Amino acid sequence: MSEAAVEASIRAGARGGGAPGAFWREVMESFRHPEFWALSSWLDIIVRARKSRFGILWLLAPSVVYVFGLGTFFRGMQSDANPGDFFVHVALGAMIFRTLMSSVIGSANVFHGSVSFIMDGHMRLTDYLLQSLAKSFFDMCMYLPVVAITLIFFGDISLPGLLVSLPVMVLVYINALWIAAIFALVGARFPDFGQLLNTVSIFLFLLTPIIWYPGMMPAGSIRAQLMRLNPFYHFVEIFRAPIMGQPVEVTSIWYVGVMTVAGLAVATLVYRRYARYVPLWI
Amino acid sequence: MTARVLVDRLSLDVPAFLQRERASSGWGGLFFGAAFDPPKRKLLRLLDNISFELGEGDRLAILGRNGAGKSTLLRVLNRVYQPSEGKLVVDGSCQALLNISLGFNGEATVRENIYLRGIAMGLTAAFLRGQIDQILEFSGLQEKVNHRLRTLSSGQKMRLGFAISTSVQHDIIMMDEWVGAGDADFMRKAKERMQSRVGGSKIVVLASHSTGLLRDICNRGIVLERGRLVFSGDITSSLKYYHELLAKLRSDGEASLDMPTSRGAQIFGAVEAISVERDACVLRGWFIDTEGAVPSGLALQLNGQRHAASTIERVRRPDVKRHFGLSNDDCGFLATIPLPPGFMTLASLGAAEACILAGETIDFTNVPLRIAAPVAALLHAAP
Repeated sequence: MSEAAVEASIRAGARGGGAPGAFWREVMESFRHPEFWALSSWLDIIVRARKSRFGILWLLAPSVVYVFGLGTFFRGMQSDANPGDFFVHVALGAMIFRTLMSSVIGSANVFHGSVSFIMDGHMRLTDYLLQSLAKSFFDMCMYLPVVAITLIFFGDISLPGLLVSLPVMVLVYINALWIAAIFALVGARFPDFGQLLNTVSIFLFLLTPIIWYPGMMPAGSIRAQLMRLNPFYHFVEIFRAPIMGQPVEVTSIWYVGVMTVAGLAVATLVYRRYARYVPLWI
Repeated sequence: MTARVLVDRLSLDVPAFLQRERASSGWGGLFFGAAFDPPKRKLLRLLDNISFELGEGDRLAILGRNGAGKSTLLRVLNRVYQPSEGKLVVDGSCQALLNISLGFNGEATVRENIYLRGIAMGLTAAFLRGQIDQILEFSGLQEKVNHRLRTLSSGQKMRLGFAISTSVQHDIIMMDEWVGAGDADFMRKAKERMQSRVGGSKIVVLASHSTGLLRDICNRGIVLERGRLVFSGDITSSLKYYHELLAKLRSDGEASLDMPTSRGAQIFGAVEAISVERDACVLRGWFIDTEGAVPSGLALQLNGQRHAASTIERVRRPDVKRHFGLSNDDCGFLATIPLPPGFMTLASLGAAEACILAGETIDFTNVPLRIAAPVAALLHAAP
């Protein structure tokens, strides 16, 4: 074996070279060398489970509580609801909300949490973004059993809708990527940002039609407008409505489309401008 | 590929946040001030217009006082901090040994952490699989492999970090102080490993306060002062410049304010001759501290009991001055230490585990001096 080949078998080139800033190039490199972020996020997850007696069962608990606990409680308030449908509505809504929110909150703290790796010269910052997205993906997987149960037992689901939901999921993750990039940078600069997001998340959860139907808001009222301003509403809608066989509002599709393009553009610019300051901020 | 480090007119500005000066009127004011005064943003220039180039075979010592920018420069070379101005080129694989006991996941097992750290260093999982046994053996943690890292002592964590960080030979090694601490057995292993890693690497950059160490390892030196490169040259002239700088600062009276290390400076030296004359022991040798000053305390320890020197005469030692690049040659000593009754021969001193200690003052001696081989032979000769 030549010297270069030996070298290649030892080093995965996982550290990235040059100054951080080229967002897309670094994202590509991170995908090509997934070892670091995959392992560190996986360790974070299993460690969370390992601390407790019931392990992975605890990670399933939030979904059960949200869907069947909150769902049962609030079902009584929905006068016109089909009881089975309401569970599906809550399960799908909570899953998307949880996925997005955990990538937002996770990424706001991700640079502070990885300070020793960054200070040791592991400078491809997109690795840390993907690390927080991988964790949120795992959170989503923890919702899948409950979602599957509700779909099978209560659902009146449309199969084409289920097929559509897969590309929508990819779209949601593309959005999660730019959200993570921007929020991670803001979180690195302002350490209290993560706490703020935690507080706001409860409000956003209630503002998003997860445990209530969007139809309950009188059209044109201030509250309905507030609901439509909430980006989570649109993400939840374009994912949930097709599965439940309902039409998707055109505004939601526009809203998500514009947000994807604009968000990625802003993330690219912000990352180029500010990524180099991250080691100084933390 | 040839290893190379090129630093060209490099500067680093850092935004710092300063708390406003506030004349607080009592406790209440102090608390509220700390809670509500917004910090003020200000740009600080930590490194200012630094240029140098390193090629293969160069071993660079970074000299400077605390806060002069040594660690910052190492972080820039390690590409953590991006230079605000200027150019930095680093060719070759590079490993920095800056904070080796950090970067672990406390709840994961030792084995998982070896993978985590190794992959963060840029090694492949396949390669690490073959290295795990070697790393565990080196750190002496074989029976801990499935324990959670949290349960390890800080010394064990340090050993593990050291074993992982030094498991591969890199082209360029950067160090902030010489790594390696722990029990005597591990120290010996760590020293051997470091020497072979340093010997095998093409470029070494070492920031340290230990003059003797830098003299042994490095062949080039730069001196930093307040973020500026004030001297660059071979190691002897760099050390000389650094010691002159310290001497000048000391005489300006700045040292006591600005140098928190002046009390923590490490003393080192050697005893080169020993003899017993009637009821006193006469010692010859030299000692200095890491900042180039000459200490004034000397004592002989016999059976665990210290006996302070009654007279210490300074002797000129131009050879020591040249070797370490000191600013004065006043570092030799000729000391007389009164002996307690019962010690009449050198062998009786050796039997009492004689040990020569040095310190800043006569009342405070705690650093054993190296005993030259001929002296040790005299002490331990059969009676």
